[in-house]
Order: sequence, then structure tokens, then C-alpha cells
Amino acid sequence: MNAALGTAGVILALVGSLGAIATLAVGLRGRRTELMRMSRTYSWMVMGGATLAVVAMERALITRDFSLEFVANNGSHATPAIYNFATMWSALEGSILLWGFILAGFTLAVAIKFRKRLDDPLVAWAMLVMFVVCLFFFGLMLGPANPFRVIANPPLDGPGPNPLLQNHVLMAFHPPMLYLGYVGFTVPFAFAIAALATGRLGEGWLIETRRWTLIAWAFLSVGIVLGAWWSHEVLGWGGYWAWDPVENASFLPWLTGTAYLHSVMVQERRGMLRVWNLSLLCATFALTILGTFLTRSGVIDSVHAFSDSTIGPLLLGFFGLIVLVTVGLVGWRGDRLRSPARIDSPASREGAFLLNNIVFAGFAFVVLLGTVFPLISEALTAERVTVGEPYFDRMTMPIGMVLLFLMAVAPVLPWRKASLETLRTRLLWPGWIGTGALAVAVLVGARGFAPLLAFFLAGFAGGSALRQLALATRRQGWRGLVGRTNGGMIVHIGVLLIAVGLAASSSFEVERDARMCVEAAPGCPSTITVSGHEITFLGSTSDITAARRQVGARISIDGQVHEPAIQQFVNGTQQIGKPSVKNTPINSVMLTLTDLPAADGSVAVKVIVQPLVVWLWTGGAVIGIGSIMAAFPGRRRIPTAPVSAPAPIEGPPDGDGPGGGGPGGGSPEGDGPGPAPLSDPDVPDSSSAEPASVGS
Amino acid sequence: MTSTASKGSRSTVGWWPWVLMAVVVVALLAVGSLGGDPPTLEERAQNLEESIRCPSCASQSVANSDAPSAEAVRVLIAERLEAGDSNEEIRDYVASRYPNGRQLLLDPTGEGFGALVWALPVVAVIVAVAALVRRFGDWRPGELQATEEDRDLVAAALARRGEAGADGGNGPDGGSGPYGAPSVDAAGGDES
Repeated sequence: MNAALGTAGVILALVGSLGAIATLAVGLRGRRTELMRMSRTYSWMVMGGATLAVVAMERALITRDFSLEFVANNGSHATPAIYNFATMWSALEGSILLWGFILAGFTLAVAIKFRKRLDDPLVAWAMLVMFVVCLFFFGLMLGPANPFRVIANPPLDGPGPNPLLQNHVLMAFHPPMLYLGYVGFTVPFAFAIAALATGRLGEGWLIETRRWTLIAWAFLSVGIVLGAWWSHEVLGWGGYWAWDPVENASFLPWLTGTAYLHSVMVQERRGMLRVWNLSLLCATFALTILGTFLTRSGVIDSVHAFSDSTIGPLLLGFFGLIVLVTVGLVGWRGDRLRSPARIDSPASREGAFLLNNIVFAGFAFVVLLGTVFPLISEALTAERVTVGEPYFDRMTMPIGMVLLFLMAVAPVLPWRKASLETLRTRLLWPGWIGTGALAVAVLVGARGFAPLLAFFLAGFAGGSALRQLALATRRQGWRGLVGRTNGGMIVHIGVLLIAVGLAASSSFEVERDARMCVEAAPGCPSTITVSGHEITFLGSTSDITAARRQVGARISIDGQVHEPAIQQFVNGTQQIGKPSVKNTPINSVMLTLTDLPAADGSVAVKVIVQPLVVWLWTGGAVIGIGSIMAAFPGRRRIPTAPVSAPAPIEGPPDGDGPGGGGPGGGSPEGDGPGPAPLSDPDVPDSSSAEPASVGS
Repeated sequence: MTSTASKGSRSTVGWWPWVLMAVVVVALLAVGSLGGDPPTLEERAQNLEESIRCPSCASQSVANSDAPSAEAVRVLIAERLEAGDSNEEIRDYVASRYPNGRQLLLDPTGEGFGALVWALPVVAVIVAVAALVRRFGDWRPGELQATEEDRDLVAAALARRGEAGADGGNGPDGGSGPYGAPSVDAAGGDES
């Protein structure tokens, strides 16, 4: 029943995607608008199919329908309700189903948002691309990653999900958040391909997908931070980021996406960097697929590789297809992508964005190289090397410092060209704020060049962000906190909180192993002091449920009782630590039992004290809030404002060119009906190529 | 943020506050990074444990693992530290004690093929910077002097706006309404 429903849902979605692709292709070929408008119906169909499949899967999990192979392998009677619900994304087939469901949701959202323009070739092409991606993922679900495979002799009970995935509630939120981010990048990618296919390479498609990109990026950021939080709370070694291949796979699209969010502003403003922006967007989408391949095909060892499967070659093929199509299209449209404008001075907003992009691209290159290097090395020299944390730490630290410096300077730079005088004036207070942060750090006893430099630069950058917000709110009231620039500054503050948290917690960690007894004995104290925190062992506990056995210890940290434990799940042989963390804004104290309580009642405890860990999670929340503020419409600029990008030189805005659409193409400033827009004799009109390009 | 049009309307600062700031920052950094004690044996052990993979794990370092094999490596490191070996000697020693021991080193040493992983990013950065310098090599800073005509245009635009300069700092938000030019785009598309 569940299998039949689920398979029916997947087939419905697949047929919907196929139908949409055929209809849109015919419609685009023959310019038949009534066909193009049908994509809305098809997207409801795909969404309906995906929903049916998800409901069937959850129903199978909740009713413990072990006739489904997926439930038999990953479900169990003993799993508590919330983890049972989250079991869907704890293994490959279910996570592909989640991917498909979210993708169908985004496809429908685009169809609804652009419902009045579905017959516009640009939108029709974008819908076509979205449906092709849908087709691929629902195809996977009928092929090698079929979540509704039935087994002949259903077992009475299953093993349940991987124990690590069922001992913290964050597991219910981290993967869906991450997938909302991953899949969300399909939308701007689809519009990028549509722009290339239609030849409408102006800035129009950028502006339309801006918020989609921002939302996807925000989900990805929050998803990554939640994942780090999960590993800090669950894994018990005081870490939150280990440069594991799966972590890198989520970080790579984040890096290219972040670069894109910055460089897109240069294109909107100055019409430059068109090829670069298209490449970044396509790279972001391709990297989400490559990341899925790397981690799901078992080619790379990873703690996240929860299951092996045969979908590897298909994912790799899809990745190759994306790269080929993108490169081919960019090559084909190369002549239209040439930008007429150029950068006037490296000391300008656009110069800083360009540098930012080089640094982010370099960052992504280092992470990608380090992740795949073991594979390359093994293939070419038959020698398997390991590239781990020390490599990534050493290579990315200087990159991070450069990014902090850019975050300090770039927000105060004007477009086009800055004078030294301007910089000197605008950066003075941010500089002193950085100096103050450095002084505070030295006074409280922080030592070491790298972390101190990070604190200084973070304070400096924070000062620049606050300066922008202060000026904007003074002028515009609460509206000074919304809009892209101001929301972006709030995001910057979130990133800075994370940077400070990273520097402090990794540089000033104190770790202590101790054996503790309730009654103090020689070599076995009942109270120890670590970094000024008094830790007292109060007694052992034990707790047995259907899913697991748990033995723990009651230990007080500065008078507050915590219960770190060791869990043994019925479905695993491995013992899993369940650390307990006391968080304060200043530092976090983590208690982990390193061994089962001994016969004499003593326990082996690891105590890790790390400063400013909470800043990491706070920073994640601030990034989320800042992104919402940035998506909120800011104050509209007046089209003829003096700092606008160059407007068309020839003809009135509602002109009579062959395209009829006139120069507006996409430049937001260009199509204002206002009187003769400002033009800059130095820089040719960035959108003048537009009318000729339309529909050719 | 003042727009370029209203440059000079606020007082500017000279260099001396920056010189003072530089002195303070350098002094603080010097105090903070010099004069620390040389790393203790425990700190060195911790660093070494973080740079060696636990032999029985997938990708965890010895420092992050409680597996018995990790404990064995910890013992090896402690022994060699007591014996007074340098960090590199200890890493070599640990690697020599296991089959395929070089795989245990989490950062590849700078020899042979493994050196590429260190060198390639550096090469990439050099190439990127060189390409940029080539691409934008013709920066002509002096060329951007505004002409009288430009100033007139700016003045006229400001006069039209009424509230001059009120929006300068929010610059990049231009066109942040939901659609910059949908109708134009659509019309253009149908034209074909």
C-alpha cells in the first residue's frame, strides 16, 4: 500500500516533469504562449506527486511498514517519534526523496511567483531547466535510489537509524535546512541558463533571482551552522568543524554562493563581470551535485557516508552535463557577454568586490583540492595520501584574515573610485574599535599572533558594519536596517561573531582528563577545577529505554548539575558518548565520559573548556536574521540618482529600437521614465547590446 | 556615507590618528604574541595528536578519538617527546611504525606528489593576480577628473530629487523592488 502510493507519487512527478519538458520545448520552439503557460499546471502535478511520495514514506515509517526495504533497513519500533520522522533523511534513498520534494516545492514557487510571465521565453526556459533537474532526481528515485523498493519477507523489526542520528534533536532540522539551501540554488541556476539560452544577458534575470539566491544562501548558512552545533553537542571532542569531505561539500557551494552575492552587485551597478557571475552561479549548482556525488558514492571516506550506493556514476554524469552545458552556452554567447564597462580604480567598491571574489574563489579551490586530492593522488601515483585538518587550517587561516580585512575596508568604499582622504576619514572609528577589541583581548590574557590579529580585524570590520548601520538608521529610521546593504551589514556582523568564536575557541581550548570518585581518594578526586570552573562528581545514573541503554554520571559544573552519559543502542555495537555542555557567553564547558563507570564507582571524565563557542551559534542566528532583513525591500533608489550606473546614451527610454523594449533590458536604473538620465561619457551604455540580442 | 557628489562637505582627518593607531596596534600585538612561554610537552603532544590520523578510524585525528589504536599512538608520541625528538622526527617515527604509515599523517609532507597540494593554490593565486594586473593594467587614476559638464548634470539631478544626498549610503539597493524591469523584458521577448 505505502509502496504503491509512493511509487505512484514518484511516477506522477516524473510524468509531470517529462510532460512539462515536452510542452515547454514545443512551446518555446513554436513560440506558442498557451503551451508555455501550462508549466504552472505541470508544477502542481510534480508537487502533488512529490508530496504523495513523502506522505507515503512517512506513513510507512510511522506505521513501521517493514515491507519497504528502506523502512526495514532504517526504521525500528524502538525509535522515538521525532527521530522516526527524521529517519527519512538519515539514509540515501530518503534523502534523495527529500531533495526531490524540496525541488518540486521550489519549482512550484517559481511558477506561482512568475505566474503572470510564464509565457515569457526567459521564464519558460527557466521552468524548463527546473523540470529537467526534477526529471533527474525523480528518475533516480525510480532507478538506483528507489525509496519504495519492496522486500519479499519483511522482518518484524528493523535496526533503526544510525545511532549518531538519533540522539540529538538538531538532526530533525539540520538536513532539511541544508537541503533547502542546496536545492534553492537551482532557481538562480535555471534563470542563468535561461538567460544564456534566450540571449537576454542583461541584468534583468539577476535582479529577478536576487532574492531566491539570498534565501537559498541563508538556508545553506544556517544549515551549516546547525550541523556544526550538532557535532559540537553530540560528538564530544569539543570540535564543530573537522574539514570532513561532507562538511566541505556543503561549504563549497557556500563559498561560491557568497562570492556571487557580492559580485552580482557589480554587474547590477556597472554591467561588468557577466561571464564571471554566470560561472559562479553554475559552479555553485554544480558543486552541490558534485558534493552529493563525493559523499554518496563512497569514493571518499567520510564519517557522513552513511550508505553506499550505485548512484555515483549518475551523479557524476549529471555534474559533467551541467559543466558541459554551461561552458558550451557561455562560449556560444561569449560575444554578448563582453562588458563595455571597466573598473576605474582598484580602490573602489567594485575593486573590493573583485578582490573578494578572487579570495573566495581561491578559498573554494583550496577546499576542493584538499577534498579530492587523495583521489587524484591515488589515481596518478597509486599512493594514497591523507589531507586533513592541519592542511585546511594552515591554508585557510590567511585567507580568512584577508576576508576579515576586506570586510573592514570594503563597506566604506564608494563606487568607481575612492580617495585616500575618504578612506582615512571613514575608517578611523572602525579602526579604533578594532584596536579596542585587540586591547581587551590582550588585557584578558589572550596570547598568540594569529588570534589577536583576528580579533583586531574582526573589531575593525564590525566597526565598518556598525558605521553603515548607524548612518543608515540616522537617515532612514528603521528602514536603515533593511535592504540589501544594511541587511548585508547585519550578516557581516554574524560572520564576524563566527570568526571571533572560531579564533578564540580553537586557540584557547583547555582540555583535561580525570578519573573522579564520589568519595575523594588518592588519585581519584571528587572535585577538580579546570579554567576556574569547579567540577564535582555527584554519582552515577542509568536509564534504559527500548531503543538504547544509557549509563551516565551526575556532575555539577559550578553548582549546576549535568549528566553526560554513554549510550549503547540496540542496533549498534558501538558505544556512543552523549556529552553535556554548559554554555555561557564567555565560555563553554563540555563534559564527556570517556569510559563506562568502573566497578568501584569511579568515572573517567574529559573536561573541555572553550571560550566564546556560543558566539558561533549566535553568529548563525544573526546571519539568518540579517538575510531576512536584506531580503526585505529597502528604500528604492531614485532612477536618476547621481550614483546610478550609466544609463543609455542614445534614444529616449521608451525608445524605438528593434527590440522595442528599449534600453531597460535589466539595468534597474536605466528604465526609469524620468527625464534624461545621467550618462557617463567614459563608460558606454551597459545595456545597449540588449535590444539587438532579444529573441534572435 | 557621503556620495561622491558631496565630497568635502565634512571635515577630514589627517594621518596622525592613524600613526597613533598603528603604534598602539603594533605594541599590543607585540605584547600579545611575544614573551609567551615555549610550548610545553603537553601542548606539543596535543598538536602532534591533531596532525596524525587514528589508525582504525576513517577521518578522525588521534586527538579526537578514543579508539585503542589512537591510545597506542598517544603512547608512542609521549615516549618520543620524553626522548627529546623534534616534531618532524616524531611524525616520521609514527609513520614508520605502521604499514602505509604516511597515510596517517593528516597533512601531506612537502615531498613528491603530495607537495602539489601545497603548491597548486599558491600557483593559482599568482596566476589570478597576474591575470588581473594584466586585465586592469591600464588603470589611469588621473583620468577620472569630473568635468564641468558632469558637475552640472549632478547638480541638476540633485535639484530634481529635492532631498539631495539622502540616499547615498544605501546605494547598492537600487532597484530592490520585486522586479526591475519585468514588463520591458517581457515585451522585448515577445517582440521576437
